[in-house]
Amino acid sequence: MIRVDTSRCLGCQSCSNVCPSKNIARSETDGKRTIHWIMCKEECDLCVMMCPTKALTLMPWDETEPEGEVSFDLVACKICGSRYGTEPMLQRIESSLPSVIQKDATGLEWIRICPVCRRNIDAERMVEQILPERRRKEWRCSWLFQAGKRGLHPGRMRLLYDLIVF
Amino acid sequence: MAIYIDISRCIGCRCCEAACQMEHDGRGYINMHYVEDLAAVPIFCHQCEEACCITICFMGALHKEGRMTIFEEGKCNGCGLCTLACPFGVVWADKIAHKCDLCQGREGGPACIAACPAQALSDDFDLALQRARSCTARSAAAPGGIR
Repeated sequence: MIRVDTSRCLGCQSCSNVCPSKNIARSETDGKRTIHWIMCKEECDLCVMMCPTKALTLMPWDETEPEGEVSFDLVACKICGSRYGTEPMLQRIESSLPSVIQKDATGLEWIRICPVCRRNIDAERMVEQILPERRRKEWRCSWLFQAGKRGLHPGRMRLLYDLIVF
Repeated sequence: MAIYIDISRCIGCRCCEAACQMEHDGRGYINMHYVEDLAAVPIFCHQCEEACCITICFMGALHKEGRMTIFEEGKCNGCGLCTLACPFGVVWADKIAHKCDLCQGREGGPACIAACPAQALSDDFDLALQRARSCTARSAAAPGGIR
């Protein structure tokens, strides 16, 4: 059977993923992740080998030993508030990455932000350069459109606009 | 090899997304984002030089091969650390991780580049550089100069 060192467990669920007999149950309900090790008589140590923190140990069969269970509160994203990862996992990432890249150019701590928000931020940063020009073009178009609706001469309004803006 | 994007060319048609999903059996590695309804930008793996996902993976499932970040399915056990360690959020995980593999084994390069109708995506560094240069030159020559 398997004994769990709950202080070392990351809550990454790799043991549950590799277990061939599905003896490690996991559940995620309202911001809480629970991993439950069901009593297991098999002589397989796949989960022990795969554990990134060596939190699991293979023990001889013992009836009196209670079933192992750990539960983690998932960390909420700093921007959108959705829950995306366990605290020990994020701490492991923080400890293994160099501190220089843990903050980006704007001083944003990206590890505490969920992957969806990271993609959004990346997208906004990439379009930063072309956005002012697009905004100006849109404003010009809507200005000419409004002028046209009011029956003003579009050619003259365009000339006027270009004189004002440039 | 990496994929470069010219954002001013992108029309936001989501062709690259669809092509990627077709190529990878329904799992796409490209996400299209729209900013203020004015600009569209596809987000995909940057093939980082010093990739965080490689540093964090304890199984050694991710490694560098030339300029590509290669992911080996056989070694992954689905811990999901790489998903949380990617600064751009472009590694996905369900059971096991999956990420952009630049359409390895596909004839004629990545599917997204072939599908893009506006030629916004390319895997040619020189072309991307040339476009960036001419874009800067054009904006400098425009009335009002660089803004």
